[in-house]
Amino acid sequence: MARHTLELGFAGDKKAVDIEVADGTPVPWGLDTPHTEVGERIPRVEARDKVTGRAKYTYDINLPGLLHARVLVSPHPCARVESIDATAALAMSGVRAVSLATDPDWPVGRQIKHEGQEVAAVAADSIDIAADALERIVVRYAVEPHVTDEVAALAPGAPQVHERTPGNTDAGRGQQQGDRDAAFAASSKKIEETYRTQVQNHTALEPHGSVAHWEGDRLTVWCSTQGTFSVLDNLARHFKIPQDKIVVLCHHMGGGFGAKFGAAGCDRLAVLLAKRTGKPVKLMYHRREEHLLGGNRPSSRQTLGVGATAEGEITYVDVDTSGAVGVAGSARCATPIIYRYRAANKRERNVYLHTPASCAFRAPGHPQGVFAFEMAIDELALALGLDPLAMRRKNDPNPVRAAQYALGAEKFEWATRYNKAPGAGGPLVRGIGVAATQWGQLGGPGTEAMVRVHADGKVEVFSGAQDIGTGTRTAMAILTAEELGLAAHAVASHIGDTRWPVGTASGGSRTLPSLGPAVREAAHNARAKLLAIVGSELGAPVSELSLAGGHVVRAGKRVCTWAEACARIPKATGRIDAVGARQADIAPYQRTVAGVQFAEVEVDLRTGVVRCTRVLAIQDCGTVINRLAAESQIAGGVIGGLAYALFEDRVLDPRSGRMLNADLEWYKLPGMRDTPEITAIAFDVSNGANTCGIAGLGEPTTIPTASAIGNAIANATGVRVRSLPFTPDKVQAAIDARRSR
Amino acid sequence: MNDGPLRDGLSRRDFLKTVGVAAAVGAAVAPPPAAADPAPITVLGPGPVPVALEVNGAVRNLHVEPRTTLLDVLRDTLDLTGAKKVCDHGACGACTVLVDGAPYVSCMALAVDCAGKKIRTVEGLATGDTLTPLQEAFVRCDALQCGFCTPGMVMSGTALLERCPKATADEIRHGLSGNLCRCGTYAQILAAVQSVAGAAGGR
Repeated sequence: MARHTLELGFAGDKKAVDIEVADGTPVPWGLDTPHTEVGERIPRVEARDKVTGRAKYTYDINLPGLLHARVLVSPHPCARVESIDATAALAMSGVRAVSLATDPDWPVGRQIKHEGQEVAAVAADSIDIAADALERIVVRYAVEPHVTDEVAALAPGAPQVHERTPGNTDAGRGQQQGDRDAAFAASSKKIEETYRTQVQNHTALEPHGSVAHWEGDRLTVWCSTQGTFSVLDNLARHFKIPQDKIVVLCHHMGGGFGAKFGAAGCDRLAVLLAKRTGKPVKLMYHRREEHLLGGNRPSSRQTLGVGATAEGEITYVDVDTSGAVGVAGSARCATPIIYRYRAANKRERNVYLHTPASCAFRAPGHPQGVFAFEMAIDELALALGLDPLAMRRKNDPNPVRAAQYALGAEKFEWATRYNKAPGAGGPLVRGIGVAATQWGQLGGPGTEAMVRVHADGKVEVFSGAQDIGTGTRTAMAILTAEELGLAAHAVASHIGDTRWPVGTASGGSRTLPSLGPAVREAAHNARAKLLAIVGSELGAPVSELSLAGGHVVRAGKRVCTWAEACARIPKATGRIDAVGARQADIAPYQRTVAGVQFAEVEVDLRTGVVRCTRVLAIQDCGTVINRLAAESQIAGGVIGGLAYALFEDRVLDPRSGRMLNADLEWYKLPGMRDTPEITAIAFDVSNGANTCGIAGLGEPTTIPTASAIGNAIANATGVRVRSLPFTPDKVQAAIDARRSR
Repeated sequence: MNDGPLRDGLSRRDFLKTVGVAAAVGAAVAPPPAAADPAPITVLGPGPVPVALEVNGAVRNLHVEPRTTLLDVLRDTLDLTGAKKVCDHGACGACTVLVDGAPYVSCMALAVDCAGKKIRTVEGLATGDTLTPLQEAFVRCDALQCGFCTPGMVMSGTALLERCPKATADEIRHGLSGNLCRCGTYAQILAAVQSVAGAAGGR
């Protein structure tokens, strides 16, 4: 054991912490640790494969004899399947097998509780034949009364979605802190408003799906997934396959955003149809199915009560939320109260509907909760006559955000851009808004990695986990290179094969904070083994040797090249393999990561059309591993938040309960012309949570965007729109209402 | 949905009769074509028909059903999986390929209709390991995350720059407005295309 002083924090708030470092383990990085590859702007190692079309996604896998499969889904939101006749389908030339909801081995649900639920699957020689076959399957449904509207679901006599949730609702835990009566009494200003958010579909470009291939009793599955090991576990359990007989592969995948954990219906059906036909089967959801079966973020209806003293100190926060989860999920609105406060009361409940199950979606609960909360704080500030940014700076104790507010105020020119006469002039008016965010995922143990150094100098790093587009593959190469004194692109990075070391699923922004330190430890161990070989040949103690700039270095002098060092690896084995694991957390500077966003909008007072013109996003993500990818991720999260704020909405027909916009034409995503000028700042903080000080970045920047935009709309127009998305009809109605007063 | 009369009590039979009469009146008024038989209608399919497709400079002699989209032929028959199937509806641009230089949403084109045209896919851009300047710019500007929209973006960008080598930022935004990206890499893609347009002396 050795004692070590770790410098944590950032320039504006330094903290020195004494820790113990076990012999042979990497010394944790601190504020003063110099880096060579880490923190630089490094193009992704798989970028060339992606721009040439060489990268193979699950959807792209073609195998000899491959069959193409499609699912048949229920058009009814609530029904019983009485019978299914697939005779005509099976008689078609090119149809190889069907699986029906009436079969004993049907691997998903049988009772239809939402439109889009699978009732059959067909495997055929071509995708067109499979689609034809779907039309020849005759399903007799006993249609039952449905409820797809939140208000109707809670009314007496409404159809019950589940027996276990009478009244179609259940309540969450809730929370009570502090003395609310005293806090209420101390408030000179009180706001109570209701905010609403919409159901949002994940809309990854690659749909859910798998290619399943049985060879004897061994199963290989290519799956578009955020968790290779979660798919393996799910399929092994369901089909009772020995876990050493199943391999899940995911070298590239086209987006998940929270919907792709475990095995979905399409994945199980691919495995079943492959077994039934003896041929490999590819089953991907078609776009309509993906909207209906690919998950969603629940809606919310949130009543917020907030109060403050005359000086602007927040006193109490009441949050009463309700959200439609569909047949399953949690509508919990995460409202982390990042400001000082005296009392908080939270109540939450789910409403069940005959609509598709909700599931985790990029920062679950936070875009909803923070939207309402940051809008309410803004309204409170304005009621007090306080500048919204000043209100936050006054109440926010977090030192990182304090620095981010200051930096942002200057870079965004807050004082000059703030509209001092909202709604005046026109027809185009501009305004700005700010919102703050907190995220908490710092990863944890359970993830491992392997580094391989070959006698010819080639280096490889392996993880069984996946890269969902966040740049994990490249970060692994960077961390390995950093430890071995090489350039990042000299390391071959392998990911997405469950035969390789176990790794976390990619959710909660926990991938890099879990995998990164595991990779570093593996590379550290490889380094130790190589230097032991070199040291013994040179007669030098390992403690005197290091790796830098592609060389072995002793007392500041280059002793030999990397290639010469590797050539000393004994020919009998020809390489070094070293494993590493993510150890327990060390000494976190903060248990959370901090971010702020500033948005500017231009609103047309004649039409209510909102154009977001610029966004500044400043985000703490601990140690920045790849600055290029970090900035992309920050900007990508902002665009996701902007999509939620201005465009996306799952629309149901009120009578039939069917989704009206289950496509990419009417389910609106922003395009390049809707993109504002985005400035993304990765704010370096040494957080000491793990040996690399990495914090996750996948989710935090998608959280505050909608409220920053909503606050900007209020600053531009003088009206407050409290419902997402901020479509022109709502903005126009609010403007008209104000005019008529 | 109401299955009764179309509108104002007009039944479908009446409607079709009216159209028929109008067509007949039209035919009587206009001079008939000079002694020509109606052109013979060629029916293709429904089974596979021979079609020669020129893809990335090479002619491929195939047998495909007439209803098969260009996208499905590229991906399932020719194993050119760069063009992606995302919406299969012409709404997202992920399947973009170039046909005689024009960006096509290949999910909305029939393979048989592309015979005799020059089809270029993302696989046909690079020469061996040498990427095009636009592909290099995508790599350098980090204009991709998951990469599923990337081939479509690269093809739309390629078509735009061939048509308009010094495209402005607004022209680039317009030219790529038919390509969706869920990861949100638009700013970096814009920068990548701009860097190539700028190198061509763009404004």
